[in-house]
Amino acid sequence: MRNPSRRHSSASPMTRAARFFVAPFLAVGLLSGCLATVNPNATDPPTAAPLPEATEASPIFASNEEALAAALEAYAAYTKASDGFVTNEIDRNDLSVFETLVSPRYLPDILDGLESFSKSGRRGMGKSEFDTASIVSYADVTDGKAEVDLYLCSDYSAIRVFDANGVDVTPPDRPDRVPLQVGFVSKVSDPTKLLIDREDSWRGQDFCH
Amino acid sequence: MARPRFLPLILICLASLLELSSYLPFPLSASSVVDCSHLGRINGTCPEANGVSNGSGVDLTAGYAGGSGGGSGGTGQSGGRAGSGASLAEICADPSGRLTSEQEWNLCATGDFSVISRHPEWPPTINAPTTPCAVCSTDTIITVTDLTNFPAAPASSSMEPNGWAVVGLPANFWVAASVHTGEGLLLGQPAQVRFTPINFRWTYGDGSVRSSATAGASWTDLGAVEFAETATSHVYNHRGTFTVGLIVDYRADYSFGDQGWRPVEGTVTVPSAPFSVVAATESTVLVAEDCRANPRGPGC
Repeated sequence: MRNPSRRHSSASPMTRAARFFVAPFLAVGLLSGCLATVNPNATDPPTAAPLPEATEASPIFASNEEALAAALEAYAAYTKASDGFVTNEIDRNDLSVFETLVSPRYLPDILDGLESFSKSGRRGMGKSEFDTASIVSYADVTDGKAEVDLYLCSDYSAIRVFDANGVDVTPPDRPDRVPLQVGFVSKVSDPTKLLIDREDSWRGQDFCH
Repeated sequence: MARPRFLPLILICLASLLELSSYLPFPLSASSVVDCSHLGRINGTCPEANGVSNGSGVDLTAGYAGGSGGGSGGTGQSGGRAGSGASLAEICADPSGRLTSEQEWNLCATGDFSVISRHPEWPPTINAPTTPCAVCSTDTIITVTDLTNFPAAPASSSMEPNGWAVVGLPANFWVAASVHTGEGLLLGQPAQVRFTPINFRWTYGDGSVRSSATAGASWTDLGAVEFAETATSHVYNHRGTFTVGLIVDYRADYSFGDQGWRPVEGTVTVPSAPFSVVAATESTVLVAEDCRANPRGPGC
């Protein structure tokens, strides 16, 4: 096997001179490169770049007030749709609106109730109201998922239920005002939009009367 | 195993049960009769709503007396005998064989009946308050100082490499803290308190501290290479032995009986057990062979 370096032994004097001048610069360059590798920066301690501030997600709602406002908007839309279904103001065969208002977990229960009511041949007249809403809690349980709980008073006094013959079948002891604790979760596609996830009766002191 | 000679007896029992069901103001087979959605409350098919704020001993059968079928689209067994048959209080006093577990829960747990613990999917060891509870109002403000009976569990912290760190390279720290619930007496009432970790404060022993909303995770769980930076990693700049401490801040919520959760004012701080980390410098040398195979080899 030939030694390739020998081919350069017959280089011209000019080439040798160039090598003579270039070599120190190359050596310094290489050395400085080596030094940089060995000692990256003597004055700069090898600390990690700050990262937690950059990685921590900002809250979905800037304040409890914002969370309350979003929850009230969601609850108003939900009760309006439910009232509309009861009073036949919306198409009972198209329940897709509830998919945009209720969490996937709670939706089957809602659809069961709507279907059952529809089969009963009943319809309602009037409109429900709610008031005295206050926030119980707001938490971002995971990135992009908020949970909000509200207390509120739901008022059914202005809505009545009638059977297919037009007879008022509203239970006589149906409470007109019920203290509720309503739970909301954020929509996956838009965390600032809340969906109804629970509607629990508040069994503590009745703050609606 | 039922023997053939018991068959008539079983049939009689079944017939009795079916007859009893006609006394009920709701169909035994249709759980959908209980509807506590907005629509259900309009329709009067939420017994919980009918029983709310009524004090003890609520007889929910009356809630169905005006309804014909309860809006359930049911089987036609409902209505008719309300008030004259077995009251719900009587049924709930001995629900075995009369109600499904779901009905038992939905219907019987609405009054002050002691059947809550029978529900198979939610076996709390405490019942709803059986007497009017003065402190259970929404006006009551519970602070963390009231939680003396509810110690939050110390979280278990970990780090890698196990117990040591390379000076100048990130060491990874994380903590296994999760939402947990305790039971006990709160202001003299049976209550549950739920602790949710919200913040983690690390003291790395070299003067550095870090407050993080994330609990962190191991490099393997994060899918990261060893000595990678993480949201909870720390770089030691000097050699030495350092004591690492962690304080977990919990948000607390409380609930009396099966009532909803309400927030406790203040934050519960729980320190974890401190542990030591040895930070050492790393040096690389050329060795003739694998030092693990031959620890006495040249350079090892």
